[in-house]
This record gives sequence, C-alpha cells and structure tokens, in this order.
Amino acid sequence: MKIIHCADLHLDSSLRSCYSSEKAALRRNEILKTFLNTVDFAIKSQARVVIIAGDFFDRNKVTKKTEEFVFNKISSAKNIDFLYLKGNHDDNIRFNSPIPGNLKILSDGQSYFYDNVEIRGIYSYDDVKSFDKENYNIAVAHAEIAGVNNEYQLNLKSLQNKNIDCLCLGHIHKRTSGKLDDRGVYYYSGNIDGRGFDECGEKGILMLDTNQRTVEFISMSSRLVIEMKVDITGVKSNNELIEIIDKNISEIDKKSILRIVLIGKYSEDLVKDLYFIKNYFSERFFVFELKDKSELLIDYESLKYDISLKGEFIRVVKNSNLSNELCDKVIRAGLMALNNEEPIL
Amino acid sequence: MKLIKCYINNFGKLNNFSYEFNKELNVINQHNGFGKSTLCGFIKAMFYGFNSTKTKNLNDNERLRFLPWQGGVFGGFLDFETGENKYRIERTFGDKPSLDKFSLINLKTGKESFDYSERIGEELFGIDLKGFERCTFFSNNSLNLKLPLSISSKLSSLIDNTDDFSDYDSALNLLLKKSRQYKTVGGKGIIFDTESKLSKLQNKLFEVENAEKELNLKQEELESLKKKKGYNDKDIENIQLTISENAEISVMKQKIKHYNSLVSETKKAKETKEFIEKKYNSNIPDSVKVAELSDECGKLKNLKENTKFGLADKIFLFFSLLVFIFGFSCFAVCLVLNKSFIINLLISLLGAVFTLLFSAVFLSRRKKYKKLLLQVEQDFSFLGIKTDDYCLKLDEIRKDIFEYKLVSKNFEEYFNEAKNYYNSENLKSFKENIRSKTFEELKEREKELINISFNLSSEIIEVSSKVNQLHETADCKIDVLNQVERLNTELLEYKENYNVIIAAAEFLKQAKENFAVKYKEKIEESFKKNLNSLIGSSDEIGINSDFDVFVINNGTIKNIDSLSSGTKSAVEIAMRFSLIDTLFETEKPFIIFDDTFLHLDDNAFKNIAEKIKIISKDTQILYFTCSKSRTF
Repeated sequence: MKIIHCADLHLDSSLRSCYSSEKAALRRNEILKTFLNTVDFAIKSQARVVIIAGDFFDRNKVTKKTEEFVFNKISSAKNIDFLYLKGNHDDNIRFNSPIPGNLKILSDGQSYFYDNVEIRGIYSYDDVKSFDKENYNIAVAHAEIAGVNNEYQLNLKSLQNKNIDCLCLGHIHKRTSGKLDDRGVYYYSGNIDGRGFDECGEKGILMLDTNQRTVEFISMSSRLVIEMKVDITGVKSNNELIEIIDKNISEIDKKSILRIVLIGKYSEDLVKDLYFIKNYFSERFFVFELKDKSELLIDYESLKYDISLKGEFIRVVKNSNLSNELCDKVIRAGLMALNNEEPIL
Repeated sequence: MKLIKCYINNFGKLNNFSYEFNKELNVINQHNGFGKSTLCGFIKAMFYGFNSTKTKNLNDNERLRFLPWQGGVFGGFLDFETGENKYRIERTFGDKPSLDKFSLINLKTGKESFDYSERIGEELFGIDLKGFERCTFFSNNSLNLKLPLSISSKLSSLIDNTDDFSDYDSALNLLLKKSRQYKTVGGKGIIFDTESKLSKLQNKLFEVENAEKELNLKQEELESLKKKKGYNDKDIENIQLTISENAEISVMKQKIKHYNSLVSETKKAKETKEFIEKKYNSNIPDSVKVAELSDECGKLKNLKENTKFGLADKIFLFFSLLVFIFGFSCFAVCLVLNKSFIINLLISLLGAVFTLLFSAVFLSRRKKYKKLLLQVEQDFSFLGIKTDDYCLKLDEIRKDIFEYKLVSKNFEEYFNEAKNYYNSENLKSFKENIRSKTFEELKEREKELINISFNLSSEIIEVSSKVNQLHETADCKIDVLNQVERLNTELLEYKENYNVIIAAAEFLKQAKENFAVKYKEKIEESFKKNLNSLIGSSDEIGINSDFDVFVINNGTIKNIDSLSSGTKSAVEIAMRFSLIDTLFETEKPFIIFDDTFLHLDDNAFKNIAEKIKIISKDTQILYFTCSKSRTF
C-alpha cells in the first residue's frame, strides 16, 4: 500500500520580507498549487492515504479561496484518505465550510486502519499505547526531537518499543531521518516548497510503500530557494564584485529564490555599492537578495603606527563594545566620509 | 636619528649614486630633473619599503615610478644612527613585494641586526608612511598662508594625505548629512516615512484583525442562527405533523369508531350465531332438513288433525256405531225373530266394519301421528328443541335459520371487513395517547413558528452577507502581514544604518577629541618653544583651546592675517615643527624641504633661512632647491 507523508505546508503564509507584495501573493499561489500537484501525484500513484503531519495551514484562520481549492481537490480524490494532524500553527483551525468526507482530522490516539496498516495520530507522547506487532504501524506527530516530552517536543524514548514501523513527523522543515528503535525509523518529510532562506534546497514529500517497506523522496518544489556564500577576499572594485558574483550564479536557474551572502575580507579601497549590485541582479531571478557578511581588512600592525585621524578613528571604533559586524560598518562609513565620499551602507 | 650616508644602485633615474649627509643642514642645490624627488623616494623606501598596490598610476605606485630606467639591481643602502647605534638598511626591490629583500646591519659589529624589522620606519619613528610623508616633507605649497591656521585641522590635514583643512569637518558634515536622510529633528527622513507607512499598516492590520475577530463572532452567530432555524423548522414540521395527526386522529377516531362498530356488529352477529348454534346444539338444520321438518310438521299437523276426534269423526263414529247398533239390534231382533238378519247383519257388520274401519283408520292415524310425532320429536330433539308445537317451532326454526344465515353472513362480512379495515387503515399504529390540542391552537402556533423562521432566514441572509464582507477584509491579513514584515525589516535596516552613521560621527568626534587631548599640551608647549626659537619671545601670539592661532594687538585679539608674511611663515613653521615634535615621540626624523620657500620674498626668506639654520641644530635638515637665490 502506498502512503504519502508530507508536513508543514503552511498554506496562506504571509511569507518572508524578501518578497514584494506581488511576489508574495504569487508565491503563496505557487505553494498552494504544489499541494494540488501533490494530490494529483497521490491519485496518479494510487496512494491510499496522504498523511499531513501538522501545520497544514499557517494560521488558525484560512482564507475562503484557499479553503475552497483545498477542499475541492481533496474531495476529488475520492479514493484517498487525508489524515490531518494539527500542528502548532493550526492547533485551533477553523474552517468556513464543512470538511470533505475523506479529510480526517486526527485526535490524540485516534487510529485508522487500512488492511494490516494502522495509522495513529499522537499529540501527547507519554504513555503511548503499543501497536499490534502483526501490523505495519505508522505513528504521526508534530514535534521536534528533544530530551524531554513537552508540547511540540518529543523524547524518542517514549515511542521506542511500541512496534512502530514508521514515525512520520512534522515541525522541522528540513528533511531528515533516523533510527527509532530496532524495528522502526522516524522521518521528517520537510515542507513541500520553500518559503524563505531558512528553507533552502529541494523540497517535497515522502512516499511510503508498506509492502516493499521503502521510503522514497519525491521532489515537489516549484522553485528552489538557494543561499550561496561568495568570498570577496581580494576584490578591489564593484566591477570585480559583480564579476565574481556573476561567476558563482551563472548555473543557477532563473526561477530560483536566491540570496547571496558576501563573506571574506575586503580592503578599505573597496567601496561596495550593494544597492547597485542588488538591482543589477534582481531582474535575473524571481527573488534576489544580497547580504553582506564580509569583514573590513584592517592591518592592525600598521594601524599601530597610523597617527592620523583615520587611524585614531579606527582604533576608537575597534576598542568600543560594538560587534565586529557593526564595527566594520561604522569604520567603513567613517572612512568613506573622511575620503569625502557619501557613505554607502 | 640622523642620516649618515646613502648609496643607490639603481633607483629611478639615479644609479650608482651616493651621498654623505651632514648631521645638521644639508643643502642640495641642483637643477630640475636632478633627481631630488627620486632621492627623497629612495630614503622613504629604505625605511618603509613600497606600498602594496596593483594600480598602474605612477603617482600612486612608487614601485613602478622608481623602477630603474637602466635596469640593474633595484635598490641600495642607507646608513643612519639612532641613539648610540649605527645601522645600515639594505633593500632591493623586485616586480612584486614578494621579491623584495631587506637586511639590517649593525655598523659597529658588522653583523646582521634584528633590532628592527623590514617595518623599520614605523618601528623607528612610531608613525606610518603617510604620516611620515606628511610630516617630514615640506613641499613647495605645504605652507599655505591663506587658510585658517587651526592646528587641529592642520594636524588632520597634515597627517591625512591632504591639504584640505576641512577633512574632519567635511567628513563630519557628510555623516550628519547622511544621517538626515534617515532622520531629521523636524520629523522627516526615510525612517520617519517608513514608520509612518508602518503605522498606517499597523492600523490596517488592527482593522483586519478586528475584522477577523468579528468574523469569528459572526460565524458563530451564523452557526447558531442556522441551528436555531433548524430547530425551528423541525418544530414547524412537528407542529404540522401534529396538525395533520390531529386531523388524522379525528379521521382515525372515526375509523376506529367504524372499526369498533364493525367489531361490535361482528360480535353481535357472533353472539347471535352462537346463541342459535347453542340453541340447536350446533346442529343448525339446513334447508333440506328444514324442508323435511316442514314436511314432517305438515304431515304431523295433518296427522294431528286427523287424530283429532272431531265432530265429523264423532258423527261418523256415532253413525257407525249407530249403524252397528241398529244393525246388530236388528240382527238380534231378526235373530230372535228368526227373520232374515243378513241385512241387519250386514248392516251391523257394516256398522261394525265402519266402526272398525274408523277405529282402524283412527288408530292408524294415531299411530302414524305418534310415529311421526316421535320422529319429529327426535328430529327436534336432535336440534335440541323441545316443544309442544312443532309447527310453531318450525316457524321459529325457519326464522332462526334465516337469522343464522344472515348473522353468519354478517359475521363473516363484518369480521373480514373489520380485519381488512384494521389492516388497511393501519390502526395498529394508532397511538391513542397523543395529546391533541385544538386545531386553532395548533394553527396559531404554526403561524408563530413560520414567522420566527422567516425572521431567522432574514437574519441569516444578513449575517451571511456580513460574514462575506468580513472575509474579504480578513483574508487581506496575509498581504498586510507580509507588508508589515517587509517594512519592519526595512525599518530595522534603516535604523541600523542610521545608528552606524551616528556612531561613525560620534567616534569621529571622539577620535578628534582624543587627538586634541593627546596632542594639545605637547603642541602648545612645542609651538611656543619653536616660535620662540624662530622669532624670539612673543607674547602677542598664542593658541587658544581650539588650537587656533591668534594675535593680541593692543589688548585686542586679532586674526593671524594681521601678521607680516615672515612672521606668518615662522608661525607656520613653528606649528609644523610642533606637530613633528608631538607626533614623532620616539625618534625624530630628518626634515626635507623641497623648494618650500620659492614664494617668499628675499627678506622673508632670509628670515626663514636663519630660522632653519637654528632648527638644524636639533633636527637634521635636507634642503633641496633649484634656485640659487634660495640657498643658505
């Protein structure tokens, strides 16, 4: 029997600030479409169940439009049960209309049986009843793995030796897996489509085959979210900066949501015009963001002998209690001003 | 420290060049193009090496600028003394810094010394190359008498590779100007604009959140109204059912009544039937039997009539007897009389016969009657009837049979009708205990409920419409949140940038303060000392707390411009030297004048020249000039 495991869809998410209003609206629609594609895939691959391990929606209030799309799609997949475990974002979900018959909201300890497969939702992790060892047993939870049991924190030991074959987890958006006990394995499916730069890489769903006892990742991302570091050590001008960034991103798909993080050390000769560089690349990608984490290269040995105002200024800043990052920015601004240039931040 | 000697292998246009320095004043009066700048560059390079730069601009890339025109070993050596030690710096230069070589020789021991590294200039003078250049080199325009003589500005400009006195001030102004882009006292700037946008969005968000709360309430209200309407509709249904049930009840009651009457008729028929059956010992005679009985009774009646000794019978018997008697009498008489008695005998016989016949007939009739009577009795007895008057009873029997047939038929009919009626009208389900109100009460209540339902429907429509409106507003929340988040991020960035700018300005001020604090006293003291040595004691000239040079003339403070050019030059030099005294804490370097006084008139120059000679007692001076009139 085929079962799909997905989680953390966060439909109707307001999305991160890297999106403009228009792009945010577009991206929300794309993520919704990814869910609709997931259902199509489930139908095509003749899955029997789709497990949604929490945070189906980003908030307890769902927009009418999203609800309509989701419910209609679920209804159309008549032969598939959608088992929905609530998460921390949608723990008090409230719908505007009656839910489809094949969408089942799991309560704590509630099980559904499909031939010899039991699928059970778990909200509280202490004193979990053991499963029947003859069955193929799937437990569903929305929590991060921790040393204790709390709301949305799960100590794996609580679920060991309960005859669980597969622990389908949500809450952590990165796809991972690990051993539960001698019998079972836990999986975080990760979310189905990246929203921000804390959700980089390929996203999608997991397909469980209870007969073959296999788990396969299926990519569903409509766009890749990529964060890339570019070392600008040795770069002396904005042209060189553009060139080096260009070289690093030449292979990246234009549909991507891309963040470039500048790292390394640069000399004070380089006056980075980040605003210009960002605009230069922004048209090329769906979203382009530029973050500067590079450090001003200061020759402290020379600085010792620099009796100029500039030298004194740098010393004063470096001896202050500002963070390294802030020191660099302050020094850069001061040096540009001393060079009679308008500081560019 | 003092320069002793230098030897240049190849350095710019100079090759195989050596020079021995005087400890005090070295006047090098050579034509333009001799290589004065090259020699200065060599001295600098010996102490500081070359700056690491990739620019091809010769003004900025001294390595390229001083590349030997004729090739060969690019470098040389420079001997100097400091304290009680004498050293030789040997440097050769390559195309790039990694090919440069440095060594320091202790001239006393002749061995390599590690007292200083290749950063010997910084280590020896405690100042970097730029500071060194700015302080030790007096070019031909470094004495600018036009600009204000603020020592702090001078200090900055001297050291900061520029002659722009306002470096610090312009830097500060730039920073403050930049900060005003973000925020001004009057409430303008990007930060205020963004905060204002954010505030509007927050209001919008507040509205949207309120709409969301209201939506929740309205949805609950709608659910409740729908539920209420559901119950109400159910009540209407029930009441209509009750009404129809009540109507049904009446009908049913009628039916029951009818049924009961059927049952009653059936019962009656049954009773009658049973009565008749009992009466006849369940042997109800059929029509054949009745006919038989009737026949029998008829016969019996006849026979009974016949058995009656009626007048006729009496008369017949009388006459029969009479005849007999007559006949007999006659017989007897005849007999006695021995007359023919046959006739009389015949008559008596006839009479006897008639009498006997009559008797026989009568008896036979009676026997027949009795037999028939017995039969009839038996028959009637079989039927359970005992009576004296069978014929009358027969009527009764006939009547009973007729009635029996009738009631049997009726019974069957009533029974079947009642049964069918019972089943067809489903009287089994009829609950007799339904409380029935009066029809009017029920109709009144129905009307009431329909009204309520109508009102609820209207309310539902209204609330649904409100819910839809609120949905439109509430569903905007996502967009608003996204905008709020974006603006918050931007605002954070702007505030950070603003703080960076302000911090830069503050630290710049701090640096300047440090400068002032660090150098003020020394500069003041040194300035007075140097000025004194240049122009003698002068209480007219002083420095205020801002390092501005002022003149006291007849008790009033006047601008430095009121001084003569010679005095002004002296003040300038005194100031430069006081800076040098202050900045070069460890080891005072030589001073290089490169055609510095070309602009002065002869008298002024003469004055300065004297001063230079005085200064050279303490400080080694290299004086370059291309003009004979400007030599010492």
